[in-house]
Amino acid sequence: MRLLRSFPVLAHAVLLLSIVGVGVATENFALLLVCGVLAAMSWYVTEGPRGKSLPTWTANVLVLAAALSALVDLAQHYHDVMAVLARFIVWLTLIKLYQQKSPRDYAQLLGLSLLLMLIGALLSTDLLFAAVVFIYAMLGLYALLLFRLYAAHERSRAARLAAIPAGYRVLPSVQPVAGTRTAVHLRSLVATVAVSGLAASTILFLLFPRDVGGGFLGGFRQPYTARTGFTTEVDLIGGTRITESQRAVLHMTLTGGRSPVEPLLLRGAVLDRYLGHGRWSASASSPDQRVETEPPELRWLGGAEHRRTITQSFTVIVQHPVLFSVYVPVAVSTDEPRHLNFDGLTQTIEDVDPGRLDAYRIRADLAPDDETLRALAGSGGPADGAAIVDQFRDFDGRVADRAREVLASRGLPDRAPDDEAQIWAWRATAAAALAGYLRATQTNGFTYSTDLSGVEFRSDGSQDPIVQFLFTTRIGHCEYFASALAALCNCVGIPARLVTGYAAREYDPRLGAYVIREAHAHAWVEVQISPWRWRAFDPTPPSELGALDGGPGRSLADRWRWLFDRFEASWADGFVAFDANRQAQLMERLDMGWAQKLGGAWQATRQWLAAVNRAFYFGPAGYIWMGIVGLALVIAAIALGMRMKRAARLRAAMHLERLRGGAYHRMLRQLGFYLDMLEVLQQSGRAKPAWQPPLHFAQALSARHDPGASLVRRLTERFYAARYGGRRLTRDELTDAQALVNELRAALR
Amino acid sequence: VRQTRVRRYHLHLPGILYVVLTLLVGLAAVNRQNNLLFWILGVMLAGLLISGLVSGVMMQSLRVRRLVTGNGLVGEPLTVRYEVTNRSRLFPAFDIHLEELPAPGRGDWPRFMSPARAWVMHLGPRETVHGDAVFWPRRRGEIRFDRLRIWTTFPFGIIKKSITIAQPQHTLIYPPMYELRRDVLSDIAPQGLSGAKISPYTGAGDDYYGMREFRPGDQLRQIAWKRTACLDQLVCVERTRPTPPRLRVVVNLTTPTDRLAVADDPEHAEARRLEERAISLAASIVHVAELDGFEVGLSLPGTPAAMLLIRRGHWHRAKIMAALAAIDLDAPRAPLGPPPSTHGERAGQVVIHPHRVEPEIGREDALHLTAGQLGNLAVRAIGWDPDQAPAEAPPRGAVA
Repeated sequence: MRLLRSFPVLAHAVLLLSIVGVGVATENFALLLVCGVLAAMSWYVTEGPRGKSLPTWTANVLVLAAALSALVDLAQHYHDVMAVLARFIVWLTLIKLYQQKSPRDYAQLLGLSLLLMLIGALLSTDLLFAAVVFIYAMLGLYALLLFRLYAAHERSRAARLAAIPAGYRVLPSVQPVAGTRTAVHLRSLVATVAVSGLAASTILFLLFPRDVGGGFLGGFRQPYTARTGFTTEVDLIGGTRITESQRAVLHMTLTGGRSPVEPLLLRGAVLDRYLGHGRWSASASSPDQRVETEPPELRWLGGAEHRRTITQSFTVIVQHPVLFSVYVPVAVSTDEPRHLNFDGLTQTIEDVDPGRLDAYRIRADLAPDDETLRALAGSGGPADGAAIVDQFRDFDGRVADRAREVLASRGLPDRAPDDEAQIWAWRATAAAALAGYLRATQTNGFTYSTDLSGVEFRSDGSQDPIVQFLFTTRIGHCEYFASALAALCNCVGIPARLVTGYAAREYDPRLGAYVIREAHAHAWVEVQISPWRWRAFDPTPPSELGALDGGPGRSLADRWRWLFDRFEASWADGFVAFDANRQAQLMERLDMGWAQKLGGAWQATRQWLAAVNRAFYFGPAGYIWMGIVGLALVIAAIALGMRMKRAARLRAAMHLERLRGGAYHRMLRQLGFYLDMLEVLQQSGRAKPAWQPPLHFAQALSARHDPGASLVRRLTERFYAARYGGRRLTRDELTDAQALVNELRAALR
Repeated sequence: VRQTRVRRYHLHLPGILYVVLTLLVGLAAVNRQNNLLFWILGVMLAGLLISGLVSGVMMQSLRVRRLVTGNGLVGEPLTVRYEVTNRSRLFPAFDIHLEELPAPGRGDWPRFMSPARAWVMHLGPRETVHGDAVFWPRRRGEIRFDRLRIWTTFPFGIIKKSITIAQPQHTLIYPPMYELRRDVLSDIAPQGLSGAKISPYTGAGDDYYGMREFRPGDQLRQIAWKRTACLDQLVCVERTRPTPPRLRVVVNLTTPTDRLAVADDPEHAEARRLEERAISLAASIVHVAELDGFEVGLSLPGTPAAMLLIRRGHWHRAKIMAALAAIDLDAPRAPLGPPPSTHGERAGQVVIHPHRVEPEIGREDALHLTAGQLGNLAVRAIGWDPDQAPAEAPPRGAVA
């Protein structure tokens, strides 16, 4: 059978896919190339026109060699047991692929391929690997179902042939017994199972409790996670790779005032709380000012208009509740009325209304004076820099020592001057020196990289990732550089906080606007240089940052890379980063959505009922009457549905398809009793075969001395008279027929 | 017949392994907080759920009926056919296995034949197919089919779902038969193969019997034209009815098995084997005689079975074979009674003894054979030779 013969090809494809998958997951190109080619060749070598298989002894020797090789591999890479195991299973799979294969061998091979994919899932959450997993799941499902049939057929055939006694020459049939359109039905079943499986697995995925029991078996380490775009929290250990997604997030045009110096640092979130272990978040204690916009007017946040202001007009492409602005926003306007939260101390704005915010304008003051800043802060005092410094009081002493060394090397005092007037100037100079230290990658050995999947950060809490970055790994991206600068500053008493946002540096002359992409997400540091003023310092090496620029100098591959990056960004944002918070938000949104929809529907129904009541002057009792009418309509609809369903069954059972008009409706009215009789018989296990004429069926029951045979015979005669005899059964006859059916039901009960 | 259905779910080894693997993936997912592992865990749990649902829906709509089969014969395959109907309008059924379960208390069922399965690969919605299981009977007797089990592990092989249906039915396995030497019948039948030509009844033979008046329905060629001309009325010629040679086969089972004086046989296994071979020889003689046009009758002295008259035809042969198949050698034997009325019938008689000839059984002119002579008389077994297969062990490679 062709369908079953296609299984070995499919099984080879699935196995090849699993080898590709593990190659992608372990990022082992050599394994992918060598083993992939060997796996692809195995089909031709073993099943081709001159198909030859490995002898068993050779296979055993090879397995032994693979095991020894795996032991040596394990000794060299004892910290990466899973990768070693994956390589060993790949070789096992290859050896088995070159052997002669029985259904049992195919079962083992499919099991090995599943193990490979599971190990891959332990090692990677990359989009590419996820795509391989998805294709593997679909193809594997079809292969698995086909394998069930293939194996059962082979076993059935083998058992039937083996049971033939010696000397008996006539062979029984070994062809599989099958109905019509087997392949179509199997594919339909696979599609149904795949769709329902995907739906069920997605629901289960969303419902599994997160953030419970992580690392309870020890050795907990986040897999290679990828992150992209702007975040309102920084976790130096959680995201080990920043993807350079070229997806555009915002378009920004500048008007008024003088052009600021590029890159424009668009502030999104200010992170002044260091939680330890490389995690930064925003302080929750800042008092928020609720702002209600009235388009198209600018809503002033505090202070007065100043000649040094510029206006930033943003077009939002990817929705985010944070409104971005260069330092410092003084007025805001949105395309439609919205509610915003403005934090006067950090000068950040957040949109609190649901729904899309498509565009907004922000007027910013590039050099605000203290008066303006005081007005923006409202009733709150200046930001408490000492509180930030206090968080680093017990930080690793080496960091403070390193900061002092750097300051001393630049001829700066390593402590704050006693004179209060000089403190502020010293802070700015010292912060600039420390930022310069970090930016001088040629001399200090720091390396900028967005891919840290090969870097081991100790996650057991024994050493802070900032300390590891400064003294051990010396490799990281902007968040590491900014965190290091903030730590260096705070450890010598300079209040410094982390700011995340975008570095706008790609100006598109055709649009006349800056294009801000996810790859432009950035983190830098703000240092308090007066009670009210904070100055930005960017410790990230500018040359490295420019290399990531998605400007016109991109290569051909880069021009197409955005396609992959867009998917990867969605994958990282929607799937990999799905955690307990996102789960709670999703549940809340679903719950709210349903509640809103149900509430809206109920309100609309009430309004409609009230309108009807008013229109017909029913008065207070009108609702009762409408309820009765509604109930009657529902009952009528149910009755109509049942009647239509019964008519369809009658049409199918009595072969009334060719009848039209009055004759058809007469048959529907008159032959109901026979359908009832058939149902009674079916319920009692005496179903009439479709091929058997009613008379023959009645005779067959009589021949079997069935207790209901005589009643069936009488009903059948009446059926023939009405269906083929052209007789119109009278009302009494129909009543009598129905009574006979009831009698039959009682007799067969 | 209303089917009594017992539905069961069995968790077998692959299913247990799957559950263990799912648990391990769950542990890994929780430990690593890896969303891809969470999704794979979801897929595996969904697989478990869907496996139960698909197979449940599939099995629920299946109807199975064992079709009435002919009787079997030791040495020939016994094919039992099953009518499998899928009553579902939407869902097809795949990978359906059917197997027979012996009746409770009939533990000796496997002694008759090895278990066999029927397998139906696919059954579309509203379709009916016929699957068959090929059994290889090893010994004669009555086999009672009792319950029928249909099961599947489709789609994923995780859970085995079965439905057991009670469908009592029985069939007979005829004794093993052999092709005998061509001259055996000429030795047995005193009248030779041509038989008696004259009988007191008219028929369609060649010899003249008499004349009678023409009756409507007579053929023109039957009219005796000369006589008709003389008598001036239509007269027909009547012919004799040809009588085939007749044979009565007597199987002497008057002596109980344990009293057959077989040397070195304390367990009476050899004695029982001789009795079986005697029955086999009788069946072979009946078979050969039928083929050569004999009318055959059967007597089984020592057993309660009624004597079968000398007749011929398919049904009569089936009756004789059924009588031979149904002999219960463990039942008490009846002593030898007065000579039966068959002593006077005009037919050849062959008496088959298990061990030693007892001349008082059968007529004086009867031919006496013993079970031991089967080896000399038989040319080859019909089908496979059960004597070459182990007595109790299943045939080579049978499905356990």
